[in-house]
Amino acid sequence: MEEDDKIIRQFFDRIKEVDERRAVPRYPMKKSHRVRTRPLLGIAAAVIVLVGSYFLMKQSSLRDDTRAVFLEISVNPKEGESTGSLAVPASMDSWESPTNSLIADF
Amino acid sequence: MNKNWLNYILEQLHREAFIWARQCCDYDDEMAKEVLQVVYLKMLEGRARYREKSKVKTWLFSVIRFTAIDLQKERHHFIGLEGLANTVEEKNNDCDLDYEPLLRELSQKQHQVLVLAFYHNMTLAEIAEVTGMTIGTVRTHYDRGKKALKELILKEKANGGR
Repeated sequence: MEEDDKIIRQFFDRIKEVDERRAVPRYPMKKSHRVRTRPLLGIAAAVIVLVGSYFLMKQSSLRDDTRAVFLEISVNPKEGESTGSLAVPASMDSWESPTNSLIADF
Repeated sequence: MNKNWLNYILEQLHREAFIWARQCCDYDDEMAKEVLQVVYLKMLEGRARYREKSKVKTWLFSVIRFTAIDLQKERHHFIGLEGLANTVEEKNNDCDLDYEPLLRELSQKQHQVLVLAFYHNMTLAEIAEVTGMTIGTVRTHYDRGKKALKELILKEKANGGR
């Protein structure tokens, strides 16, 4: 029985020797594609978040937040009641005649 | 089992898997490549899933065997008589070794059992897992196959073969 096994083992050893030189196709599942793209997806997500938050901040700063001012103007003021003026009175110190330029000192 | 770890083991077994696919495909290199492609595709799509009930090697060899059977069934369906003649001729030209014709003389089951035992160093229990036979049946094919192969080898030697 052992002699039978020896003959068969030698036969298969010869086959293995021949197969050692046999070309084998490349292993197709080298590395998962998902693993390679994961860092890139992370970077892309971070860029989107940064750009989005920048635009949101910019829009909120442009928003019009002036408050309405109500002015009450009375046409017939009662006695003792002061009438306000919208025009700011000019100070005498800084007043200058509009025709001042016509006066020329020669 | 971790996917990366399984991938690593499959890569280590790739060469042996190709040899086994070739042995299941009547020593046809191109068909063996196709079988292996289909096997890897089955794994990617989840149609073949390792459930850790046996060794990775026995599971992989079992998937290869079933895939080879399916592919051979499809092929035999479409090969006409002319095509068959061409196939035989191509194989004779391609066959520069004497072991392939000798192994073809055995029945398919004896061939697979002996190849798994002596080439891939599997135990009878592992062979039973790969081939889907009971250990008793495997043992019968193993004993009969060994006897038949020994006679073929001695006959070949007597005829002046290697």
